[in-house]
Amino acid sequence: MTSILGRLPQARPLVFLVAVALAAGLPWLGADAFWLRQIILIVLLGLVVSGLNLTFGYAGELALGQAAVYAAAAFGAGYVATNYLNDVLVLLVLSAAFAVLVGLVTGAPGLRLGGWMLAIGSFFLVLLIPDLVAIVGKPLGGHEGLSGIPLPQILGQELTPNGFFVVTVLTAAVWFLLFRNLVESPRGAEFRVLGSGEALSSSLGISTYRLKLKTYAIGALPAGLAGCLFAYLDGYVAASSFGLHATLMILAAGVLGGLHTVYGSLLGAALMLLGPMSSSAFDDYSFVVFGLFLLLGGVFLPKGITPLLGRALRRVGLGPRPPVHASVLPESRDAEFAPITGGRLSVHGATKSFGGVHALTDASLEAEPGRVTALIGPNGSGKTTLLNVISGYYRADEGRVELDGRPLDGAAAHLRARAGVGRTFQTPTIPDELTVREVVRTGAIRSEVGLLATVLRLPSYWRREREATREVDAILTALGIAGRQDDVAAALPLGTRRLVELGRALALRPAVLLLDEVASGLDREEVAELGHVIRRLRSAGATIVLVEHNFDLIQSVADHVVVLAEGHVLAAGTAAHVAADEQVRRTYLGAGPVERTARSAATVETPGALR
Amino acid sequence: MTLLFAGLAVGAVYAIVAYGYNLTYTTSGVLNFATAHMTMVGTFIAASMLTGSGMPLWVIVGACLAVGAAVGFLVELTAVAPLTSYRLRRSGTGGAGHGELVTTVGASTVITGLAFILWGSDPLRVPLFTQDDRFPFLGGQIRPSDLAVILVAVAVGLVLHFWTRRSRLGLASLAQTEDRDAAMLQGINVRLLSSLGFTLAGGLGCALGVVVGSKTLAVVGFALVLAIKGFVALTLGGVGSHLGAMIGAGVLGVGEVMTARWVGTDYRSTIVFLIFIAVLLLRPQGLFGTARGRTV
Repeated sequence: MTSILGRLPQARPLVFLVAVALAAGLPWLGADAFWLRQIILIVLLGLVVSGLNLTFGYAGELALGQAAVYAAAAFGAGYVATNYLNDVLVLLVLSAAFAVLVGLVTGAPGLRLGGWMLAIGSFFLVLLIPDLVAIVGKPLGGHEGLSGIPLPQILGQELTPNGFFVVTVLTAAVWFLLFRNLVESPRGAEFRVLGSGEALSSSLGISTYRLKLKTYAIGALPAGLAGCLFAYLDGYVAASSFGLHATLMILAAGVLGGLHTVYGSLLGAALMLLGPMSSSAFDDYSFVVFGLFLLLGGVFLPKGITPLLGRALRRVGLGPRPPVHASVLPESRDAEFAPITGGRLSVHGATKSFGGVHALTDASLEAEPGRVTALIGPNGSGKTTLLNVISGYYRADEGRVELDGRPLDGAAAHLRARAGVGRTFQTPTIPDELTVREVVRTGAIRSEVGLLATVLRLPSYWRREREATREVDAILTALGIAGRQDDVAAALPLGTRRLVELGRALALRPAVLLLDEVASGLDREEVAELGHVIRRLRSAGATIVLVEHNFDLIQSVADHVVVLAEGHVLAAGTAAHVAADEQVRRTYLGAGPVERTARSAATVETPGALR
Repeated sequence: MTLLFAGLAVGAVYAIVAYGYNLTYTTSGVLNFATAHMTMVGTFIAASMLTGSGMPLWVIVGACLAVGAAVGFLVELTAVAPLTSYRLRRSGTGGAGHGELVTTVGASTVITGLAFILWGSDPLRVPLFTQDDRFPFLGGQIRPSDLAVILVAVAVGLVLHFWTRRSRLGLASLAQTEDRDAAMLQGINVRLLSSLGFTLAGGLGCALGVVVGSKTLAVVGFALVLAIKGFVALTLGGVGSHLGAMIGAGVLGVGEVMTARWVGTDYRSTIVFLIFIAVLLLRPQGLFGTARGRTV
């Protein structure tokens, strides 16, 4: 049994084609007008929800204005079809373009702030729909709505209802195919990276600004297609179709179907339109039921029901099986790292203060290729601030940062990453649901092929894939985590996650590698393994800056140690030299008076930013 | 002057919602989308209790306090606490707090639905003032209900402002906002604080519904508009600052009423939206907030 069913996943393109053909053929398979209409409505809602899945699910951006984009496209298409040009295919393209424009404009608040500001902004926009329609007035039909939209035509030929059904199904099929190709590619991984925070995406050389714009644009596109088809469906568009009710329905369908899925949006839409909600007995309770869906779904099913279905399918032998977990400790392999061209990093007189707190005062640092430079100091001594000044999260008030003599000071974080500043994070920052291999692969995102080549799977895409696979293979093997390449990275033990982060930073081919407390939280064996990895990286030629508390690790790997205290460089030299320094012993190695002031500075380092 | 008063009264309503946002944000780090819905519930309780029963005002306000506190407590218990305790904040929907947006929108929708079933969709009068005609005041005309809303909003704002800075609970909230983990280590019961904040915000918001309703009538659909404009007021003033929220709301209300008067009623919300976007782009920390560094 499994031999036939087990092969199904490999036959995915075929399954997709058969499913689309069956759906498009429904009018000739005996479906009546009522069901055809229901299916069109499900497909339209599914399209709109899939835009939400991209922005909210994958990219973590709370752009909830899908209903507004849907409305804009429906009114726009209805107006053009009535007055200028009636051709479904042309209008689909125009609507998509218009939706992208609306999506970009409504995303504006998200560019600077994101999070709740974006959510409220997009909710607000939905509220504005009736006002805006009233302001435009007559061309859009004002309060009465836009009626008299002609029957759809293609090249002057009027479409039958069955023909329109087929157009709707095929439009959705094309969108879902391209959407799948997008999210299941390194380009799609970018969205998940953005969802894990801007700090991460810029550390990988991704311009958050451009990526967010891209997210809003692509997320609005399917709502544009759906809006155009909606205008034709009844030949009538009114502002009341796109109010709060529609917004909640979209959100609930998304949460139910699973925000991290490609086809879950269709399932969610079907549940919304065919489930208990569709019966008129529930009319009075519809808000309560919607609300409960959101509340319970948000609490108990943060990933929606589609993954549950997937698991159920696997149990009966369908779908790919999750890989079996290997041993818990990272395997120790001695494969060499490919030669790394390290750069020379120099920081001169970096000074940074937050309000009245001087986090860094005239701190300098030199890191050279083939050497490990360690940065130590008590909590709040400015280590992480210095690291952030180097990688561009903070602008230093004074001082210079140079890589191979080229100044980095003016550059934003993502440009510094592209210039060769790679880093790991104190708390490993790894997007959910990506495998070890995929996470490491996200490090090489900056040299990816374009969006079009990706969604169309052009030959250049596959060429780049093969090349990247070789790179990632080499990194995974050298780090000794090749055996876990198919495991979900975020679920692995801390030590392995740190190695995965290290691998991701290496995939960036960094000229300098900043490791932020890589050993914290690791047991003795894991620290030894890490030390081994760092030494091999050094022999491969990497420039390594290591922020660390673990003095044993520092003694075993560091060539040069810089001690920070209260933002000043207290001492610098070899580990033995520093360990012998009387002042260092007093303030750091034994808890001295400096420790007490650490807290005030530490709170400045980790403000709870509003998201 | 008359127009200014009308604007300030509108702003006062926004301010009351904005305080609610601040209260839950400072105590639990969550902006509770259902904040305005508490006030909406208050307006309905006041409408049904004031009409006919002849109960004294303090009983009605007390009832609102109790109901609002209970609803606030329940919202925290069902929509916020599970996400925090199961550490689901970071999984599923990306960044921190995104899960709460879905669940508190859900909670607010449930409240809307229940209010709809209990009280129907028709607006109800809240006859706090038997005579609500304009009377001359400071060189203009003002309704008693408008004056009451303005005075209450200003008073509550000032009390909250000083209370946050002086009381143990207020200081604990500030510590929590700064760094939740550090606050926990200092012995602050973050769980209790969060629950307390929602209960308090619920009770306060609901009780203030009595005054708000006298101005706005009790309408179900009103809550969403309030939720959004209250948030805009909060953004104008700077999240976390009660004083900022009060001033932001005042500016917003006056601007809105002026727009409606001089440009056209259809434009009032659109103008508010444009102000919102402009402030976000030019001064994202709000007029009174402070810019914060970023976390790595």
